[in-house]
This record gives sequence, C-alpha cells and structure tokens, in this order.
Amino acid sequence: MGQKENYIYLYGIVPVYELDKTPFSPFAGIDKEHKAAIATYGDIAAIYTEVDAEAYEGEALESRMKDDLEWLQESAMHHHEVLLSLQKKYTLIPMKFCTIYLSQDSLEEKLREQADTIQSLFIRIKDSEEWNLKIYCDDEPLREHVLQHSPSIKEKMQELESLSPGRQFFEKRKIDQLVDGELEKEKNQFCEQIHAELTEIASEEKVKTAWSKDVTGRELEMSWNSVYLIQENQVEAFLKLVQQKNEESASSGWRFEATGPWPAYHFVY
Amino acid sequence: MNTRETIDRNKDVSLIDILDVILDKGVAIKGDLIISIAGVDLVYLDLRVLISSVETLVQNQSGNTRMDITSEAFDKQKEELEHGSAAAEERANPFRS
Repeated sequence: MGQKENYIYLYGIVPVYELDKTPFSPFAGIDKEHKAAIATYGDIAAIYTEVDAEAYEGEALESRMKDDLEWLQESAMHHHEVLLSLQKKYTLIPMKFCTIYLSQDSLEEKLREQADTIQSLFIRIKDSEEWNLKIYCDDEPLREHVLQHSPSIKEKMQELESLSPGRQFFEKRKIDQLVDGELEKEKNQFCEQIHAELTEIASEEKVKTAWSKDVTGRELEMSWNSVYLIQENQVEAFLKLVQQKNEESASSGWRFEATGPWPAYHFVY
Repeated sequence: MNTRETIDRNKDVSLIDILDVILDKGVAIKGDLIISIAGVDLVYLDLRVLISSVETLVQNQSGNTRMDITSEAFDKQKEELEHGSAAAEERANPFRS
C-alpha cells in the first residue's frame, strides 16, 4: 500500500454505560471528510475522528496553523462546539485541541494504561458543570472610596496642605501610589471574598490569571478570573449568588460575568 | 425565568476564551509543546506557533466584528496565555501569596 494509516483525532472520553441511555449520533469530523465515531475499551468510550496522517502530523499541522489561519479559527471553534454538544449528553472528559494519536492501537494502549485515572475523573465530574467567572472593575468609584475612607490617606492629605509647593508635588505622588496600593488591596479582598462564597457552593475551584485591559479590549479592568466545577443541582444557586453580588456591587463599579457550562477542561488534567 | 437563562451562556465567548481553555493546561511553553492527557504524550505542536498565528489571524480579520481585539492587544493576550500556561503547574495565585 505504501500509504500511511490515518491518525486518530480524539475529542473526548465518555463512560460506555451512558451510551446505552443516549446513543451516539455521528457528526462530521474536523476535516469534514471523516465522520466522528466511537471506540470502546472496557468501560471507556473514546469519541474520535480519523484524520489524514500527512495533513495532521506535527510539522504539517504546524505550518498549517501558520499559513491557514481560517482553518485554525474554524477548527478551534469546531473542537469547542463538538465538546459543548457532547457535554450536554454525556459525562465528558474533554481533550485539548488537536489531541492526536498515531493509531487506534496507540489510543487503546494509552486509554487502558490510564483506565483508573479516567474512571476516577468520571466520578469527579459526573453531573457537574464547569463555569467561568470574570469580575471586572471600574477603578474610579473605588479610588474615590479609598480616598474618602482610608484614615492613613486622609491624614496624609491633611499634612499636605502645610507643605511647600515643591514638597507637595512629591508627597502627592507618594499618596497616589499609596492609594493605588490600597485600591489593589481592596479589589483583591473583594474578589477573594466573593470567590470564597462561591467556592462553598462549588465542588472544586481554580483561580486563573486575570487578563489585562489590553487583552480584553474593554474599558473595565479584569480583577478576577476563576473557574468552578459545580454539581448540576447547585448551578442555579451559584448563578443566583453571582447575580446578587453583581446587583449589590454594580454601583461601586463592579461587573460580574459568568459563562458556562463549559466542558470540564480545568478539572480533568 | 431562572437565573440560568439570564446569564449569557457562552453567548459572548470569543475565540480567545476558547483558545485559553482548549490550550491552557497540560502544555509546556519552553520548547515543543506536548499535548497530554494525564501525562500521556501525544503528537506534539508548538503552542507559540499557534498563538502567533492567532495574532496574525486577528490582524487579517480586523474587519470581522467577532473579535474586536487589536493586534497590540493580542500581543498582551499572547503573553497572558503563555504566562498562564507556564504557570499552570504551580497555579500561581497572586492573591494568595
């Protein structure tokens, strides 16, 4: 033959018994040529699609990502959307983008090797959803609050008046820095507090890096970015609390954004 | 209507949100990326290549309103992603130190 066998692009792993309840319906795979399929190994079912070995081998994939940007965007979206829909039906261990095995055999070998880990992951994420919370903040109202309410800063402001204009300039800059520091502290405390309350509802949590303003392209600063694994029957309570906090603190410049349910990306690795 | 429906479930999720999660963890930034599940090594990619292509993608598609992020912003975003991934192992939380 001389032709390479297809590679295996793995979307995710689900428990076999759930397939009896909700049969798998095939969909078009990432290359739009092959259909997604199921392979079962004991209690574990892998949802995958075959991909051409030459197109999806390391170097080819790399250059494709460089040269075919529409493909990249489309494929990343495809991957995500597939996982979203699988997650609605099954207890899904989601794979990262372009998780590719060289053959069915190598996939099977790895899955069998990892069977215990996979089983415990199923238990961990069963009937749970991943939600992301980003908290944004308008610094101005908070800065004003700090200026008005911090005793040490108030004191320094009063001292300022008795100084010469030259000293005033430098002391003022010092105070600004102090206010900045206080502001950060206030913001962190606020977010930490919210996070602690949400963590009580969630079964697991992870704090992520908050993106800078340049990243988000927004006017408001992102102060907090975290993910939660939440039991399905707790999701409503979680979202209610987020909404309540949002309403309570909107006038102080805070804005909460929850997105989900995501595949449990952050809780399976 | 319950709270669930009032929250924008994935409605405004951008490509960067998606890349952030589908690439975020299990990746090594220095050198070639090994995509892994629970420590299993698979075909490797280079994340930096991917991220820099996304940057170009955004530049190329600046007319597309799906992502109104400037290329400059994307540089930062790239850093964030790289930082986020590099720190993934230790999960550094600046607020908890």
